[in-house]
Amino acid sequence: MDEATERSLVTRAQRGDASAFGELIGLTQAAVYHVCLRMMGERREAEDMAQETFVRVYERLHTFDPQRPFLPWVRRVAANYCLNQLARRAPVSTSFDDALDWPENRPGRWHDRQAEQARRVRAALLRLAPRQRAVVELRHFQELSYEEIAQALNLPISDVKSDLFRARRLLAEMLKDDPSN
Amino acid sequence: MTHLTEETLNLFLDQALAEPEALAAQAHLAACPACSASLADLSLVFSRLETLGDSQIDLDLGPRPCSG
Ligand SMILES: [Zn+2]
Repeated sequence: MDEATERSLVTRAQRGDASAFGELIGLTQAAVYHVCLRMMGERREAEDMAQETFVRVYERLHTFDPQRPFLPWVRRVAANYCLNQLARRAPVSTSFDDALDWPENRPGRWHDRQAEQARRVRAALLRLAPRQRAVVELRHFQELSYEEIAQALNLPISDVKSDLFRARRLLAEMLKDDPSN
Repeated sequence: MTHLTEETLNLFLDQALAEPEALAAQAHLAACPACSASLADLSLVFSRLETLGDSQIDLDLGPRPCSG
């Protein structure tokens, strides 16, 4: 979709046009779902979080500047919302198996080796503390700068860096013994 | 020889070092196997994370199985 079309959809949605908002959801829901899946780890939960994300997006739509790209904003809202939900919960001990409905667990879509790598990475991500996971999401998947992450999560840059660097060290340890290296 | 700190290695990979620091880090990495190995460990994390990027995976949500 070109920028002009997107701008006009956003502007229409801001004026209360439900079908324009529906179109924006259609255009961004898959990406939002994948943010939520990386953050939450479980498909059903990721779908719920994606829906809740759009509720928040709708509530805050009037604050959004239509001159800016829509998708990055929505993905940031999703990461933030997931982090807030995770931060409220008691930490759970997580174990993962092939039964989880991750994209890489669906048969026939990926090469075995690639699927195995993706599973390991996803499981490793889910072993990080929620804030570390959010910082990795925003830096590696949403490609925000340290400053932008600090702004998105309302944290000092020094915390963003220490969470990110520590998360990477943990991930490096978890992925190091990967037999497919 | 003073090794590169973890922070410097991270900033290097994030391309967040100012040019003189980046050049100095590059020179050190070329001469230091220990720091190169640390950099390689960190780089692996970068490349592995890419396997979960939106562009790598099927973005079709599809119907979910009805299991209550
Ligand atoms: Zn060194």
